[in-house]
Amino acid sequence: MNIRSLFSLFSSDLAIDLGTANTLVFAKGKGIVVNEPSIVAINKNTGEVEAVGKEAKEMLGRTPGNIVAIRPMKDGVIADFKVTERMLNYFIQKAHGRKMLVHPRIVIGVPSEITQVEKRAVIDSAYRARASEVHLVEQAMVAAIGAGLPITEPSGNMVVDIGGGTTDVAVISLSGIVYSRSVRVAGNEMDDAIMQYLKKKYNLLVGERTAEQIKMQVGSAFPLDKEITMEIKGRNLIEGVPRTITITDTEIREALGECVATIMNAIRVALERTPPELSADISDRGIVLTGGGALLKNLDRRIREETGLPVSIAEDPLSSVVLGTGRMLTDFKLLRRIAIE
Amino acid sequence: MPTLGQRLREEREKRGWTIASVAAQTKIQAQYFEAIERDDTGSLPGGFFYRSFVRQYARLLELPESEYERDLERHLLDEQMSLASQPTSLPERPVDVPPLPTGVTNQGEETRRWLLRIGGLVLVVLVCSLVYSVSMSWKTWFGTTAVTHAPEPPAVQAPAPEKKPEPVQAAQTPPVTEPQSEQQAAPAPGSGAAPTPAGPPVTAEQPKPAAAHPAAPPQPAGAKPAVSLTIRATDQVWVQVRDAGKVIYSNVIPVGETRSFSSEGKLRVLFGNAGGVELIYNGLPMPAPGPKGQVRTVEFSATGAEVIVKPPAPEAAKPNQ
Repeated sequence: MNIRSLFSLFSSDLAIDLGTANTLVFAKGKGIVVNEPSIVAINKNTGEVEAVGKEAKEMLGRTPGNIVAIRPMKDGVIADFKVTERMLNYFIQKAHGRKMLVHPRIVIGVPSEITQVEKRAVIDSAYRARASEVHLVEQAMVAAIGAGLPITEPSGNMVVDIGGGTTDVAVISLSGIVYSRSVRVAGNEMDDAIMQYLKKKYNLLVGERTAEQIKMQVGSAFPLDKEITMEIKGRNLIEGVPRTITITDTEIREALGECVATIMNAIRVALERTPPELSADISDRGIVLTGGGALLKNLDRRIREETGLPVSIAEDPLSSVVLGTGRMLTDFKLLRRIAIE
Repeated sequence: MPTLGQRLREEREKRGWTIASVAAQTKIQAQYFEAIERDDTGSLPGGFFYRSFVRQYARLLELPESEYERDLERHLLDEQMSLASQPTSLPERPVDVPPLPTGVTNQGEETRRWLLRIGGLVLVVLVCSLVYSVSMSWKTWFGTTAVTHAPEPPAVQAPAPEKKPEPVQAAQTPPVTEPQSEQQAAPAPGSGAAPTPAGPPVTAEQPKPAAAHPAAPPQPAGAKPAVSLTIRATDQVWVQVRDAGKVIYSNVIPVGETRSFSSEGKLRVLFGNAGGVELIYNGLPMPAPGPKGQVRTVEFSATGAEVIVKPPAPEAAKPNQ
């Protein structure tokens, strides 16, 4: 027993969903204690952190020259090591409500197709944020656990976790991953697609936050029963003045078409690679969607139409991963079985 | 009141739909819809799928959410309860992993955790006290054998010059005294106030230097100590006492403190500050063995006291004088 693990006795264990868009922290015995955007605002002059999380998101795209709002995670992995470490430190302290003697054991969910370097970066930044022990688990796996799927049974379950940076598709049986694949197309990519589309079609520049709002309000993957429209404000590129335009869900669907097609393709590939016995199970139970991307309107319908399989959306798709990771804290046997080394 | 399954069936029949058409729309197998309508949750692949399928079915029938959400929530709770009663980990048999109950604590686990924390603390305290007590006992082993606190007498300034002669006398006298030693029963060891049944001849001299080597009263016959020495520090002084070559005491005596030693043979005492002590040798007071700040080695035997020059050779002492 080293000093760190001695200290860990005084901290509660944490499960962290270190997502590209949002970071969620689950404290053992308390539930979800932190749910904030993964954004850090840094003062360039002093190098100090100005704000983290919600506050920093408010600043996104609205900062003066000396402050930058950074998303330290990109495509599901750490892009800025130092900033990630500071963000983690902040969230861990926030979860405990104190600054002293915080050395928790931490379980973190990571995308399935992550390189050794990226894995190392996650582990190191957690240790530097004063963790006493760090375990990594695959996001698709914990998303399935968090959604409440019977993953320990010898039957196939297919999970599609559409997060901010990556879409993880996995087939799980007997608490092991039979097939998993992750593509780096998800929520953020959709925002980008919307921005590009508006720029091309209307010469209108909008920020990340606006693009995200458009996606949430009128974004869809399959024609809706009733058309919806939205008024958006941005800067006209040619005239150089702010303009307001009205867009419909059809246009945004067109903008998102490529992203959705990539996700569909990943699902199709996963189905092709699944062993036949498990295919039978999946055709019975269908595909389960988790993650923020599952909230895209009619995405389940699109998948249902294209694959001919039943599709279910997790009850709380945004927190499936962190709930499943949190479950690991009370079940160390299961954790040992599914942790990535 | 109709159950959820009956309600769904009623609604479906009202619209004139068949289970097959519903199944075709949702791609969910017809047998599952039949099970749902029978309220047979066991036939579905799992609690999660039951809830998901019911929701899809109800949405298709455009049933208001309030009509089925409460039933589903109850179902979720029931499932959690039944799972909570089962062991959570999966040893040899696979066990269903429950939908994560937010904020439900494992009582036993938590208690164990706290016990461990408290146990760790107690352990640390125990180790600390053990270390402390061991260090203390080391000190006592090497410390005084017997310590008496004498009332603090103002330091008696022993004039340096006077002192030196005495030891010499002492050195010379031994032969004389030795024979004298009669049947003296040994004086009680240790205590500074050791009674001196010492030879009557000596008593007269008590006040003055002669006392230095008073007839060594103790010894031969009795097995009791032949030499008893009490050192009272009038100044801070470091003292090392050897009995037959073995160091029995080596420490600083603080001002006003008294230390007593006794031996059956010879006591060789090294004073770090010869002027800072008052001696009671075999019950008789004796002036300090040297001036303040000087180092002196004095050998006390049954026959008398003798100053020895710092370099070991005991002979050197005499020439000095």
